[in-house]
Amino acid sequence: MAATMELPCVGIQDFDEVVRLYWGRVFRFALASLRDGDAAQTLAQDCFLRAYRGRAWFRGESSVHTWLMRIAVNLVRDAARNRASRFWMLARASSVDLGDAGNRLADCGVSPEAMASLKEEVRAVWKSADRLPAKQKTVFLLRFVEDMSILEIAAATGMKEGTVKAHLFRALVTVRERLGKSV
Amino acid sequence: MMRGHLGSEDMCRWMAGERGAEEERHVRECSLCGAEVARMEGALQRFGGAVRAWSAAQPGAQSAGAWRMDHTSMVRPLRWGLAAAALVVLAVIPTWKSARDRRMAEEAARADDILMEQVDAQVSRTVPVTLEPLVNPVEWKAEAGQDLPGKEKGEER
Repeated sequence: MAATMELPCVGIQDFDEVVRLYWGRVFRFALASLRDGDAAQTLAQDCFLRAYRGRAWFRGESSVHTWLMRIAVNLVRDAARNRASRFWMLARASSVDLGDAGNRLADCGVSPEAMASLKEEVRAVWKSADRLPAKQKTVFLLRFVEDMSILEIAAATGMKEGTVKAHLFRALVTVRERLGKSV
Repeated sequence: MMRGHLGSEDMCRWMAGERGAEEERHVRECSLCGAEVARMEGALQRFGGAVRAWSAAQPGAQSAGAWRMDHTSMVRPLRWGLAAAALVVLAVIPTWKSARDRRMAEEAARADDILMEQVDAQVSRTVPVTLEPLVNPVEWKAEAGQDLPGKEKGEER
């Protein structure tokens, strides 16, 4: 697994820069969690608005990225709990195509057959991740999409390190089972 | 102490960050388990990469346009809403007022008509109300249900 992504050090004073640097990550996590483009954009907007209003309370105990992800995790949790929004997520036309992520694989010089197999594999992970319980899904996405370390995930979710590992383990067992032993 | 290869759950535990020194050594030395770990890591890396690339291509992935840097712009819609509401109130008040005035004028006119009808009725009388029965006693008797004796007899015969 690749090492945790290097994030540039940025203070909270320059909020425009914070938005520029982290918007994509917050939006991506929201999109992967909610699977709805409009909802993800609204959530990202809300996340940065809350961060902007609460910037006076940011003490720098965690990184800006972790702080923002913590807000995003809470917003995603609230959105998932909201039955109405869940209904809309199912019904809305802006819901993203689950299979689309599989088409974004970088061409790594393999045969068309092998590429088709890899795409299918990505689609299968994408689908099985969507069916995970909320906490497992959050931890799984933060680990394998956001490339956050276990400690960063613990800080972002407010869970203990052991709890994060337990959720991640259960998520991996499910994903692996659904993929079959081929992965 | 590790015995044999990593099982499916051991593999998942490994991926979840639960790695003992023994497992580390085994994965390093066992080509079969090493290949299996690499395959699973590869699948998850490809998944993460595909989602990142796919997300970046989605509308709304860029902060420009999506986020309004000027925080006062957050207040702007509220201001516009209040201004619109004030305009609506200002537009509705004269309409409501004129409708009310019209209704009151109609009611007053109706009351005037009724009053005029009553006045006309009083004015058009030839005699006062109390003397009206004396003007035409026969009619009055007939109206009062008193039969004329002569007529009665004539009819009986």
